[in-house]
Amino acid sequence: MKKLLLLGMSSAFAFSAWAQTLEERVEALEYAGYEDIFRFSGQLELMYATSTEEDNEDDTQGSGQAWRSWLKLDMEAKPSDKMTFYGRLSMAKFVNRMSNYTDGTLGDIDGQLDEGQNPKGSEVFIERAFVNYQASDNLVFTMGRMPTANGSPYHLTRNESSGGAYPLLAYNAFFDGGAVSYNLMDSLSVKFIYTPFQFFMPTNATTGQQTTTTSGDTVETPSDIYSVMLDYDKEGFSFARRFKATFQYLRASRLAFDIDDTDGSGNATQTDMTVDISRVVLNTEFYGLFGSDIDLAVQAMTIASKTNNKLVRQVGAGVTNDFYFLSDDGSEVTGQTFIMTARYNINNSNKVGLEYTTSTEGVFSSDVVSKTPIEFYGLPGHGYHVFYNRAFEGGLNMIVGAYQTQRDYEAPLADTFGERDEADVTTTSIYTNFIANF
Amino acid sequence: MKQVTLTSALVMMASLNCFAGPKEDFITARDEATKKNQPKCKELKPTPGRQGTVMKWKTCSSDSIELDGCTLTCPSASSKIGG
Repeated sequence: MKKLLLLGMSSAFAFSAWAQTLEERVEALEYAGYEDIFRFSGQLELMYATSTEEDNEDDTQGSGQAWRSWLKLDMEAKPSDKMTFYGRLSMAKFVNRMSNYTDGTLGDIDGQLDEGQNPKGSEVFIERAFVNYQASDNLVFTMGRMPTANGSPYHLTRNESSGGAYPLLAYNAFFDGGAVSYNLMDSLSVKFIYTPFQFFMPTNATTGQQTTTTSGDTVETPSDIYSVMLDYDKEGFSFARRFKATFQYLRASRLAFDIDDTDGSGNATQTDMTVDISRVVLNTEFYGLFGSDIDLAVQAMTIASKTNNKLVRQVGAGVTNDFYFLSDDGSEVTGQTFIMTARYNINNSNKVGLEYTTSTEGVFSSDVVSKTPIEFYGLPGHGYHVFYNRAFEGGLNMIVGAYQTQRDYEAPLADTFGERDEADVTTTSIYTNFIANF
Repeated sequence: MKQVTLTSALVMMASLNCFAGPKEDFITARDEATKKNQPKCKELKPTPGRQGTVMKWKTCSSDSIELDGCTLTCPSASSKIGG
């Protein structure tokens, strides 16, 4: 009996010790979880592309090929329930480029082979760095360098999830600034975004020394750029498994341009003007259209650009001619772009798609950070893109695709301003991308 | 005694809910999909391991993933304005 009692007591102590240890271990794990506020992920991408450009008016042709590489290191930190930080360090390059970047000469024989080890500078590119601060259940403040680039429908062609950025035709560039987001209901939110452009001498920002144009005029700063977005995202419709829609209005005031260019005939083109643009974009995405394995994205954009002073062209010394469509009191140029992207999901690993875009003249393309091997979105003309995505086991993706575009118009400034000419240029490109997600 | 046991069990369950992890997120996503025109999703089981359904869904980089006939929207790891 005594032995039984002793055994029972021993078991009780042992269980107690085990229980305490387990509790301590769980507690330690919990604290470790609180400490672990930082998370890394990333993407390494290699692209090989060949392209050919034919000017059907001049009957000339050119072709080229290039290896490109991108690295993105994503960081996420959540120091509290209210605040989340997102950052991205980026590298974007032509692989082993051995020639001078600006003029293609063989001036810098070392190229980029020593970058990252031999002393050159302290540059690391920050593609994005911003915080979301959850002020209340429905209200979020955002500030920093925001994820405004590579928006829909670009992700569909790359077999990636939507980046939550501006729709591609609103602006495809990285903007610094701030935003206020308010969730109107579970699936609908509204965002107000302010991203000013500044023009002044960086060395004298406090005294406000401003940038001057070629002709000596001072550029007003800042240039106000603001945007209103309505985002809708919901699942479970009869017409689609998931439906997303984004409506965006973007206004940029007093964008300044200054170009002093001389053509082969000795004619100098000088621009000295500011432009106000108003852009309206509607983007819709249908995933699993009518119960099928088809995803569809349709995006339409209309833009009105108003010049605030005239664009002039100097022909030879001292002779000034106005461009035909601009007047002293400003004029308005309008344009529209349409993109349709359709993708068929054969299975989780294999997807094929077709993309079509068409633009009128005067679209003022804002495709600043495009990763397409040739100009595609917003080109004044039309284009096709076919692609095949293959997702290998373990995070490796491959994309094989081809572009063909037809340019119908050209203009000296942003393909919108200045004397517009009809053009007839056909460009084709075939590419292969390997993307490692880690 | 029964009351104490019941209370303890409830407290434990509540505590466990506080530590909702990938599996719980997966079950929520599956149940949401079941409610939204995908009855097949009801049969989808959370399976453990790196190659299990939970981690396949949690780590997918596409916009959606199909698991045993159920299409789930991938939890987007991308950062967004406004979260």
